[in-house]
Amino acid sequence: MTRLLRNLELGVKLNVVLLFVLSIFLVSIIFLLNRNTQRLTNQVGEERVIEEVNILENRLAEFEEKLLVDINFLTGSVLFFQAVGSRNEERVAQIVDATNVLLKLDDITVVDGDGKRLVDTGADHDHGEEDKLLAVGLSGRETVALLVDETSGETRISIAAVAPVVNTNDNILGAIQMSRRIDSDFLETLTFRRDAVHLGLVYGDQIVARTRESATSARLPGDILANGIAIEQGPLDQARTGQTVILSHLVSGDRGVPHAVAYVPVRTDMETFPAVVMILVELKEIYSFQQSTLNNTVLIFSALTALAIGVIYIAIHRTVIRPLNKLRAIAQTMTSGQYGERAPVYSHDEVGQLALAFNDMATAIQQRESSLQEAREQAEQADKVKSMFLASVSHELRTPLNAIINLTKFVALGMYGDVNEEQKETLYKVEASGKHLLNLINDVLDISKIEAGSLELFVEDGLKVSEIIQLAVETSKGLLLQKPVTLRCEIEPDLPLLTGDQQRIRQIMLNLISNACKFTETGEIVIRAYCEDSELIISVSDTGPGIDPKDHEVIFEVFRQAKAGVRKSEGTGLGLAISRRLTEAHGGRLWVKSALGQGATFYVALPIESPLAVTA
Amino acid sequence: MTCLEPAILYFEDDTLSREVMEVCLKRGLGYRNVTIFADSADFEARIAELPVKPDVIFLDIHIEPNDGFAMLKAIRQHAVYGRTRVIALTASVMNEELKLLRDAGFDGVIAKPLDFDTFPATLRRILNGEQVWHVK
Repeated sequence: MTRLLRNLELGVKLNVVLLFVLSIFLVSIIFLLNRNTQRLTNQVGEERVIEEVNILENRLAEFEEKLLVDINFLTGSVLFFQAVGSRNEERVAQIVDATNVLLKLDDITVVDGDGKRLVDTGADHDHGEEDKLLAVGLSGRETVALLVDETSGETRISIAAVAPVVNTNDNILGAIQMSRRIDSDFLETLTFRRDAVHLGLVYGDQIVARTRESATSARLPGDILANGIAIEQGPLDQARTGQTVILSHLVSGDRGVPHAVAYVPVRTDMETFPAVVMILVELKEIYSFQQSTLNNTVLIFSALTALAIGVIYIAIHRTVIRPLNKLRAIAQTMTSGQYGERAPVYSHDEVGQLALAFNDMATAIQQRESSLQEAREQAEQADKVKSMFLASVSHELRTPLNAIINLTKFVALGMYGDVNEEQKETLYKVEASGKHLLNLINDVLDISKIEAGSLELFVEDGLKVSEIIQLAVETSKGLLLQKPVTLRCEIEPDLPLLTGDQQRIRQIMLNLISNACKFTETGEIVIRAYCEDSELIISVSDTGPGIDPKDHEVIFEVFRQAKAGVRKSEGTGLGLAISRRLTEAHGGRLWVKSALGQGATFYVALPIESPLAVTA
Repeated sequence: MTCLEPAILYFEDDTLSREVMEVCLKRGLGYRNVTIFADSADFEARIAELPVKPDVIFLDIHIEPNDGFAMLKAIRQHAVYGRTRVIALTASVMNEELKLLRDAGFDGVIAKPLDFDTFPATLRRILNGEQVWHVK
């Protein structure tokens, strides 16, 4: 994840961060907005449900009151109580029907003093409940109660009022019961805002009547009032104790629409409250307001975010990325050695200052480069001068040595007349010193050229290693005179031909072989030549004093000889240093294996496929 | 006569070097037909006046007024002794100088100081028509 982020373009990277921050911001906004609208919805829901509860309770109470007023109106009528008193069924029915034209009640039952029915307009079949109620009336009391009739297969609940029918002498002539069924139509009259309110009459665990029944009832299970919201047992039980219960929380219905819920017991003169009206207030408007507010917020925020990201991307691209890319391109051309180009400065911010600093740096580098170039040319010039100086030093030193060495030798040989032994010895010493001086000059010239890097190899191909070794052996043999040392060569036949500077390779061999001869007092010297991998190895082993391993590198340094190994200071001390450098100039290696008292073996490894080009 | 005793010509401006060569050839090797010139002025005429055509000419490279290279060039173009063995005898024997000599058309080089131990053998090889380029 972090790696992915690291590889992104700067603008994209910033936008990812921005997007992340804005997302957190958006989530917070949605959270706050949601909480506040929730609170608002709760408040509105509570107000609305209280409104509905009040309406419901008032209208129920009004209805019951009116029922009693109506019943008293009827019982107070002389015609009526006379008809009841005379048990004139026809007359009673006439009066009742006439009255019910206005009252539109479901059931009006009139009984005489013996409890015998004179009139019963209702379609009810359960006379038991009704008779109990009428018995109250016959006892001289009036009351309002619920009438439950379950005989017809459906539960019919009615609000019933009962009163005694008395004459002017307060003799009880009979009783009358008037009732209104709490059905869908009746429930409709109890609501304030019909479109958003559902009422359900709960009896037992079932809803036995509900508003807008015709539209939905057929498919609804008995415990669900509307929009998938079912009866809750707790508040229902509480309502059955006679209390109105308003749920403090909203209940989510279908599609998440919140509803405020209340349970109102139907109150009568009875001491129990078997019927409860469940009120559902659908908070559709506020819910859709909440939803659209959220949607709009998300939409606007997203659009703004997209816009911001676009603007920021373009801005970053223009102010940072493009100048940086330009800078990078120029840095790349500078890497390839072109210092002429300068970065354009688009602004005075950090990026602009970077470009300015970069340009300053480029100028500095350019100046340094040109002064370096100058210095290099001067150095090359100096090298040339040095080479010429070395050449002339070599020439100037060799010319007098020619006379010193040779004329001394001629005198010693008696070519200028007789010399005695002592004089001859002395003259040979002069000659040897002259030759030593010559060697010293040669070595110093070699090492100066190598150190100055101006060593030029005269490269030939087809060189025979065996010949070069033989020549070096012949030259060195003189050093072994009068020493019990045998010298032999083990050169593999059919060695590959070498490419290199013949003279220099011979110089290396001569140096190694003559060293072996000088340092070996007794025993043997073996020179081997063989192929190993892609190299031709030439080794020179002796039975001399050997070299302490800690001196193995020291002996290849300029003017160093391992102390234990130095027995005669005949060499210049430069031989091994020169040999190693010459070997390396041929792409090869030179090393030693030795221990004190064990003799020494020097190895020269030259590549069979030479990296050198043959000199034209 | 030339087979047994070669005619040798040497141009050299350094007095001591001339003496070394003369002693070496005359007293050391016993050659009598040795001519040594101390400068290179009018060298063609002087070579032409020699009684015996030289078998080998040794040239000092740093010689006045004509240096070794100029002399070689003139000698090589000469009808009579154009194919004479010409050897550079010089103290300047660094690699690049050897290459210049070889490219110029010398038949070999002998380094100064002269090695009297190996010189007779080298001279024999020269007279046998071999190129001699091993210096040290």
